[in-house]
Amino acid sequence: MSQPPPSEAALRDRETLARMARGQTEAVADLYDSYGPLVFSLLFRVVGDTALAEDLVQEVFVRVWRAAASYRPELGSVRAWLLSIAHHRAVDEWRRRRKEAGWVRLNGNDPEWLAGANDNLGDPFVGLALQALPKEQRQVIEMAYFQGLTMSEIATQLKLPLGTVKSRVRLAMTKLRAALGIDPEKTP
Amino acid sequence: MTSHDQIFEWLEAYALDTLDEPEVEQVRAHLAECAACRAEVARLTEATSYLARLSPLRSPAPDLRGRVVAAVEREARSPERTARPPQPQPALRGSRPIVFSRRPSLARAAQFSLLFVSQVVLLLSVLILQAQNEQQAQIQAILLSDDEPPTQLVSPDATSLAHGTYRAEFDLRRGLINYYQLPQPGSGQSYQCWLEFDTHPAAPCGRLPVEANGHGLLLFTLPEPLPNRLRVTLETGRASTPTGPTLLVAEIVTASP
Repeated sequence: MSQPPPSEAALRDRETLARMARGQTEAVADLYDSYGPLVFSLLFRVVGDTALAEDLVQEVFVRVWRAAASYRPELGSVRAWLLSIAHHRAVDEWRRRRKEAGWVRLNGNDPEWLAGANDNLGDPFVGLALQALPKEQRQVIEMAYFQGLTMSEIATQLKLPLGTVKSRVRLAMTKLRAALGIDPEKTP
Repeated sequence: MTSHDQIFEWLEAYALDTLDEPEVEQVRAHLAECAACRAEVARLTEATSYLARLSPLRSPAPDLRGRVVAAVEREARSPERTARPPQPQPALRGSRPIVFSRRPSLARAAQFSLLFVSQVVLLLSVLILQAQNEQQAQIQAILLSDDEPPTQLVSPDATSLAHGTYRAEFDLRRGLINYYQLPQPGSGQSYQCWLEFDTHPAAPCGRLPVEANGHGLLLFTLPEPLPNRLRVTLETGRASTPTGPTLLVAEIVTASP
């Protein structure tokens, strides 16, 4: 089965990134208009601090500006590429601060709260895909993606063998991508 | 050296940024030389990017856009950047540069006009965002509502992969369908949702937006009396009654509050 052609939005994003690669700084405003609020919301969700999230938004767009010339469509959509840069930066910063402060979120080890993805639904379509996962798989996705915990940290918090956490992550991602229609055999 | 198979098993965790640092380094080294793993990471990154949309949408400070652009402009002017040879900037097809008149009064008028237009655009963006947030809140309310369990939307064609669910929030007279794996409609075609009644003709309840992967959501108002059936058809052009083939149908047996 062949991959559907890129959507109009995906082609527009590629053109925006190409303009950035050519040095057109105004293209950054276009990219921000498309994804700024989403990037901010993701960063805020991970770091939980408005001022820090706003600083990170600036950093992320500067990083994207620097890397624009290296983007290739085979790396995935611009949206996914941008969000992965944003997520990585947020998790990096969050881990650094946590390490410095020796601080862990008070509700970070409450499995009920962590599994409560229903309370945090943003996009209902994705929420439904996540809801369809068994509770323990939803929990590791939430802890990994939104809490920024490594699998070793998740294993420690949940008092589970590391191997169990690894297989839950794999199973959860396999089911999630199937629910989202991102099949393993398709090219991005 | 860690094997390809071992690295491949780590890719989900790599895409979620949940690997420990030593493993991240090993994955990066492997990705530099393995096209198959790079392609897999691209697909996984696409999946994890959907997770970002689970973050409740928040409006950043209105001046953040300006700060982002200013940060990038500073970066563009930084010595390392400007030391690079200037890169060609071919004009976009159909675009023309905005040139202000050298006459000060006209230039000021043009600047004021531009400022006015940008303010109107900003205002419209805020209104659109508010409307989107409102709709998102309505959708969430239905998803979290305990009114009724969802009704399955099924395809009459056994070979079709299309499926979905229908949910209702009776108090607020709202219905929601979410659907998966609908084929992309052809040129001039669209999927239309219909509410059917035993007592009177079908009423349209909206066109289905379909994402590139064939999934989507449609929120609509529930009429009085409540429908007995919901149908999704593929229509060419505008249709006032369901005439095209049926893609999905749901028998609404719990049609009373």
